[in-house]
Amino acid sequence: MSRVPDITRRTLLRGMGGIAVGLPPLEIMLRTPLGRAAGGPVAGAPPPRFGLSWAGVALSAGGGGAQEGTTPKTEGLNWEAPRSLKPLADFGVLSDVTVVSGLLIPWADNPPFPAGKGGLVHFNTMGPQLSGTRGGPGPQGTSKSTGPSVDQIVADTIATGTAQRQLAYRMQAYGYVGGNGPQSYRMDRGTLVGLEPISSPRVAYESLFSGFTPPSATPPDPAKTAFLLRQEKSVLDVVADELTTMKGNLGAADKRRLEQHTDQIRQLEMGLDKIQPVGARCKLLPMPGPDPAREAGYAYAGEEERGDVYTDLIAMAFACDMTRIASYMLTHQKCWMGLPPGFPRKYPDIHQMSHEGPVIEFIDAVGYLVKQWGKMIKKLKAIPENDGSTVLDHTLALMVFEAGHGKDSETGGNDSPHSTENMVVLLGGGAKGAIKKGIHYVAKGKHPASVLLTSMKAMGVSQANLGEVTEMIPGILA
Amino acid sequence: MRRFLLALPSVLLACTGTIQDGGVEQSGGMAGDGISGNPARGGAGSTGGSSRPGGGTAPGTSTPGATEPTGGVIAGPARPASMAPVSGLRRLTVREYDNVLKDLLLDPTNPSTGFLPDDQRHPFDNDYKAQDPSQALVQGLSLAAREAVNRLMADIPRRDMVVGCKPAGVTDAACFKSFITKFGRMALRHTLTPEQVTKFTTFSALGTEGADFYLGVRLALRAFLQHGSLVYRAERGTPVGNDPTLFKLQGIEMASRLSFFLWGAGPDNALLTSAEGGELDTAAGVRAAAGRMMKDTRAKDLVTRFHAQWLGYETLVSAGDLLIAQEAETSALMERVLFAERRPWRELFTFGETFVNDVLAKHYSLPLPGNTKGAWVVPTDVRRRGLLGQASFFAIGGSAFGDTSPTQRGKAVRNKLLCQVVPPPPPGVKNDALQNADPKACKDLRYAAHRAGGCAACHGLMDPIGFGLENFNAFGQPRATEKGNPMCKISGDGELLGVGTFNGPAELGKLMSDAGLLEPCLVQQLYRFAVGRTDLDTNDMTLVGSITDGLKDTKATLKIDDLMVDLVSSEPFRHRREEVLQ
Repeated sequence: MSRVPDITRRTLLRGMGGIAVGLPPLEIMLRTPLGRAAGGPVAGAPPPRFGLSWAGVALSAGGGGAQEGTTPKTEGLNWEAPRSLKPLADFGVLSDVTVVSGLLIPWADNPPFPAGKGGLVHFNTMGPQLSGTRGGPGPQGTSKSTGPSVDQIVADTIATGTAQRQLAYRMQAYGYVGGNGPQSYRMDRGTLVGLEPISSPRVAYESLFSGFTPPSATPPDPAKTAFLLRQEKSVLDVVADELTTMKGNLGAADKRRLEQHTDQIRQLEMGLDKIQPVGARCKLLPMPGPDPAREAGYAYAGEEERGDVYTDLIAMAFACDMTRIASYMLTHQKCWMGLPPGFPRKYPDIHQMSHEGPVIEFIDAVGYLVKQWGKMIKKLKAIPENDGSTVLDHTLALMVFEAGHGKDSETGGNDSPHSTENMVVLLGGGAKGAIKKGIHYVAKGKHPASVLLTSMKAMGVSQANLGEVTEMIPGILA
Repeated sequence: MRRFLLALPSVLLACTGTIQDGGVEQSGGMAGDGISGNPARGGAGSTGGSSRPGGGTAPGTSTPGATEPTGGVIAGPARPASMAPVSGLRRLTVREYDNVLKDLLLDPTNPSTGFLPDDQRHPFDNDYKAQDPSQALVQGLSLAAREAVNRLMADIPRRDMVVGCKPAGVTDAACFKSFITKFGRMALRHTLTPEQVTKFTTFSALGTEGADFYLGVRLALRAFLQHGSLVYRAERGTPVGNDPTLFKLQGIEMASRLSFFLWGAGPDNALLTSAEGGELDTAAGVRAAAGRMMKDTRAKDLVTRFHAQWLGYETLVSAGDLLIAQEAETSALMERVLFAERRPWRELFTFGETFVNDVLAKHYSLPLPGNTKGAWVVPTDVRRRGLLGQASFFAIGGSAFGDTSPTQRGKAVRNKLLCQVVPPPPPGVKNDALQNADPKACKDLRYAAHRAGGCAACHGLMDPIGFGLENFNAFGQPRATEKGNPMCKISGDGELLGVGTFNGPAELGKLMSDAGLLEPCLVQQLYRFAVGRTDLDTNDMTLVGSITDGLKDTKATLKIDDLMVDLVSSEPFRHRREEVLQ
């Protein structure tokens, strides 16, 4: 079965002719142009989708102590949700989520292991986990990935022909102590490039819908619509043209940097030209309104409201096959995210609470982040495909945590959430049946990147390694 | 060699118990006058003074100073153009972009903050090596520009000021061209080429088609605000001699280099005019321009931000009124010592007064000034002096595991204030001793393991510094006993190995200041900030070392603005070296 072809906005404008149009341009675009019948999922075989989420907190199993029991007590199917994963039970998606626990990132002073970490647990686990690499120098004395991240490797295989290669969002509004780097990295012209996530719901909305006219009760006519489109294009044309001129005067290194910028301008231009296939599930989402306020210090900045917008956009884009990759970072490394309403105000942020508050409060904070990821799983599960399955069935969405529980390699202390022992990865969806759904699997001592490598393979990537990590975890393959 | 190493990012590789060659330069004869001050000018020792933290001048205006910065503080052998640092394409930081929009659109609302991705800190926000263009950036710029222009167009008086002429009609080509030419010059930081004028003038046709002169203006503004020449600082220069990688910056390139380094904003009309008139082609011309610029309020903001990013207190671990009070205290110290009174830079660490309001005074357990806006006071606690006595400083890297960590604090002092790197424990080192110590034992006993065996060499460089600051908790509040252990009295005795002993932040500040240990790190970090690069190559380090050497006789009296003027007007800084493609 062939897929519905993309239709350019120009085609649409020509096709509309003199028909009175009662909707603003964007809504026109996403409705049913040219009299094609609305309704039904995207035609053709449902495409694969991949999601990667990361949170700068600890989720653990084992290791003893007060955090014991934050992950399932039993292995296999029908595990009971512990407190930190309770939101998944509330959403009714436990049977869609597999928990892999007992994972270990070796420390840097243990050279036989690849992709180890050094120093503090904070800032030193993202690279090993998501890229299977040892960290390189990052901002503020941190380390960062030194190879492409798993989502970008998967994108190279499955993100072909979509309007956007990926959506890259971050729920945490801003780096309370400055940005400390993205979660995703890709190779671009032979250079490893960080994929800075969007952290503004408004920017996210516009980047997906290329919106330039807010919904209005006043019906625009086609001529006005065309004129608006020309205005938008005129701005981008001049910006792009001037970049080309500018590039001609620069040295080779600077030229390469500017080319990356130019690529993104072209992406904006394409957004003006390209119309997505439409159907019952492909609707223009309401504009999110102003971004929640950001305040100085560690104050909560409406992260949940922001996350809800991102979740809607990801679900919509997956449903419409506007993209197949979601790089959805929940927090910065070390978290630092302000506590949301309902949590004790005596702590400035989630990380500080992990040091000073009762363990139970910290577990709830971790659960709060799991809940945000769970919302996405729930939404994807609610969207049907044309073969009776759901979008979630064709998706593999991972959630990775900065730390686990056990020995703190910095201080030598035990029973610590500042540990790379007993780490956990959550897998939502079944990757078209390639991954076992709804099990708890203990992969004692295995590297977290092994879970990600296994996920890569489940998505059809032929590459045999993720960075330095080559060991798979066959027990989670269906 | 000894002084050269002073300026290098000292790595205490072996932790042999003494800092490596050149790590500490004893210079007791250069003692700063510290807390003596000049009461007649509201200086240290005075309990009166202003009730406002800064000069209160509007942005973009100059503050009268007793003397003007003229540089002339870096002595020593000539530093030739061949020592020019490598420079690459630099994107404006979020702060710089907002500052530019404030000047161009008279819009002080920081239009891009929240839309653009945060700049990474290395520790500065302007490291161009960390600036990967992204969809988040480009889409954010597009939205920020559109929103800012929409707001401008809704504010008719402001719009008219920005456009600069009143159109006689929808098709007033002369007015449109005048707007393009004048606004474009300020936005792109150079006079537009005829081709650019033509290109931007085409927007007027869309205005004509829409029967709205300002539609063309709106579109042109949006294009300007996303323009590569605005968003990036591209430097090319003219080739020098036979060296294919060495270029002399052109006047307009120098104008941008000056304005973003000294103001964190674009050049004003006067600076662009100077550049176009050839005045920035000479060291004297650059020096004169820089001197003028350092008197501008924007320079104060820039210097304050530079210190905040360098020392890491840019974002503090607190919230609400206390946070505001802490920031006001530190900003006030910067403004008064470095600008209003133009004191030697090192007095930041020894100044006798501090600016507190009731909230902060209560936090510090000081007598309340009875003023919500704040007032200058001499802290009754004599250990609280200078920047090290402020909550801003105590918030940086000084705590761990629920309490202050003498090790982390000592490490922070070494790393941030002295630009020294204390290496991590070698492979195989186990730290169990500390964690397994009796938690009810006093801290000195719990840290005893650090003083024994293989740990002693490195920890001797850190822990004694931290113990000297133990009388203040992680939020800068005084305390006499240890957290959770009221039976453990804190002595507050500390030592900077090889330099001397101290008790509390006031004495530590004076110790480091008198020994001349702080200025080399200032030079190194100012250099990083100026070139927009964290990683320094061999040439950079040689140049930094040479500059530090040149300060030998002026350290004790060194003023920050003089140093910055010297730096930007030097031969290396008026040139650039082409980056080699990796």
